[in-house]
Amino acid sequence: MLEENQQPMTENAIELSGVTKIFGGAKPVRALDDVALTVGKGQFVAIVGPSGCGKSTILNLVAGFEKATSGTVLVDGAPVGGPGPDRAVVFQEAALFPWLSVWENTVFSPKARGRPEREYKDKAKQFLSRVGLSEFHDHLPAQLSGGMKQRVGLARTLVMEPQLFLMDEPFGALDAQTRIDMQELLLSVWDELRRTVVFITHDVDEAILLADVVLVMSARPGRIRSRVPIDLPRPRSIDLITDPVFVALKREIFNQIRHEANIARLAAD
Amino acid sequence: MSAGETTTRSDGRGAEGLGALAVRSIPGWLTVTIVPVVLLVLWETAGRAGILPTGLIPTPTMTVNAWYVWTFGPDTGGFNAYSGTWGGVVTNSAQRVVQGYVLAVLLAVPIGILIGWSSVVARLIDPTIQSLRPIPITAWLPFSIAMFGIKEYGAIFLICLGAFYPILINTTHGARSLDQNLLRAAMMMGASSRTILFRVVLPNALPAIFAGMRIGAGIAWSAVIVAELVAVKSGLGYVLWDAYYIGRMDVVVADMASIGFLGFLTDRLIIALEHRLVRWRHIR
Ligand SMILES: Nc1ncnc2c1ncn2[C@@H]1O[C@H](COP(=O)(O)OP(=O)(O)O)[C@@H](O)[C@H]1O
Ligand SMILES: [Mg+2]
Repeated sequence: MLEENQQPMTENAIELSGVTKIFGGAKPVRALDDVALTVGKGQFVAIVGPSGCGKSTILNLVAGFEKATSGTVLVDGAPVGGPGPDRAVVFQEAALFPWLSVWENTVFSPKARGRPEREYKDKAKQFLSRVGLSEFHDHLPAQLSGGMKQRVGLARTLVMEPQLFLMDEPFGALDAQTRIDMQELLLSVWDELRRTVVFITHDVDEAILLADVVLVMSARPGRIRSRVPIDLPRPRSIDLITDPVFVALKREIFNQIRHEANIARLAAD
Repeated sequence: MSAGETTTRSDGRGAEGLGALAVRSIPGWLTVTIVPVVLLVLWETAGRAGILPTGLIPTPTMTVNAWYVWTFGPDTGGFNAYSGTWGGVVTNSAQRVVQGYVLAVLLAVPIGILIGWSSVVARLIDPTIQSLRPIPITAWLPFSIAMFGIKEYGAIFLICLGAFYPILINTTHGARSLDQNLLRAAMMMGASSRTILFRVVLPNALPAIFAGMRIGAGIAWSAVIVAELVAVKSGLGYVLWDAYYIGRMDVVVADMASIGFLGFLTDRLIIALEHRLVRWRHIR
């Protein structure tokens, strides 16, 4: 503990080393092969890569939903046991409880953990208004659009005040305009909180716009192929995507993904 | 709110389109009543024209008359069993149904949730239940009489047994149908197993539980009639046989109609309860 306190800047939020994940069954799938990666405290890391390369698998290992076949997965220096409220997850399909109102979904975590209402009520109200859903307090998920559901999915993780946010293509199913709204919302929320984020996407624009570092994964078996620092100033906005630096980064990342996709196609033939 | 986000779901239109296409000019209530009314009129006419032997097959009006006397006629103190006794007879049967049915729900829902939730519990009790299930409740009749004699308990046992299986199977199915991401969401938010069971698995299974409860209620009414035909000396099932023996076919048909009506009423009650408890399934 003492050592950690003396060197807070070098401390890693996430550390994977030698991580291999094989899904058993009749035809075992080697989803990850000897993956090593580190995510610094307060860093926003985006992971991109061809479909099926193991992006979700990495996230699920960190979240504690899956166990690595071999290797170590450390969060704040401690091995991951199972899922827990220190690591909030935002799912692609929001995964709201359809029988609970927007409000009940938002406060699910503190309520489920038996916290007294006065402890979380005001905070939760603030977060709900922060994502623009104060007026939808009593609505049910079925009454919300995809974008609004995802806002609730974000609000309920903000209420948890976790060390770490894990987001698996959270805006992947949204239409273009809603997606841009959500990206800007996430950018401004992150500027306030500066918590560690691992953000998975197949949208390279989105990765560059949001992240401090973009990790490009190789086709199956998944590995981290390269690490591209995004040295764009913050606060950022969607206008950045026409910036020459942005465009150059995009070309670089695209080439790597295309290269990986070609390898995958050749391997499949 | 941003552009492109609306509060209505997109799937609200399809069903109505088909219905409107079918019969646009006839009002809804008429389409619903047309077949039963035609059947009743045909039946009545056939009876009056002497095509049907009314001694064996009473006409609808004869049936209604019999039912009227059975329900509102003077209590003859046992002299005429089919005058003014309907309320008591129905109460007898309904009480048995309610007791056996409530017992079935109280047993089947927790057991079903546990089987769906825990593979250990499933291995422990599912095989036993599955191997007893193919035995129809009618086959249990002698066993039930041997166990309970000609008493209430026999009927309640049969009703409970009959309603138990569909409720259990649907509940198990409902508990197993939990979306993996909902489970993961609950776990990452720090919910304990207990909390997940009561706040996630159970509400998720409620629609399936109600589906099972509706099937179970139908079986419960069949079971009470079977039990009363053979093992208990009161209720609608007993009257059915008794009236048949003394040739009161009008009472038999009135009895049949009463059973159908009560089954229908039970189903409506369960649907109403479902709409209250599973409001989220019916809202848009
Ligand atoms: N539970 C599972 N069982 C078997 N194979 C799986 C499972 N989950 C993922 N996989 C396989 O592992 C590989 C990586 O999956 P995933 O991490 O979901 O990829 P991505 O998120 O990058 O699209 C894929 O080939 C996928 O089919
Ligand atoms: Mg994925």
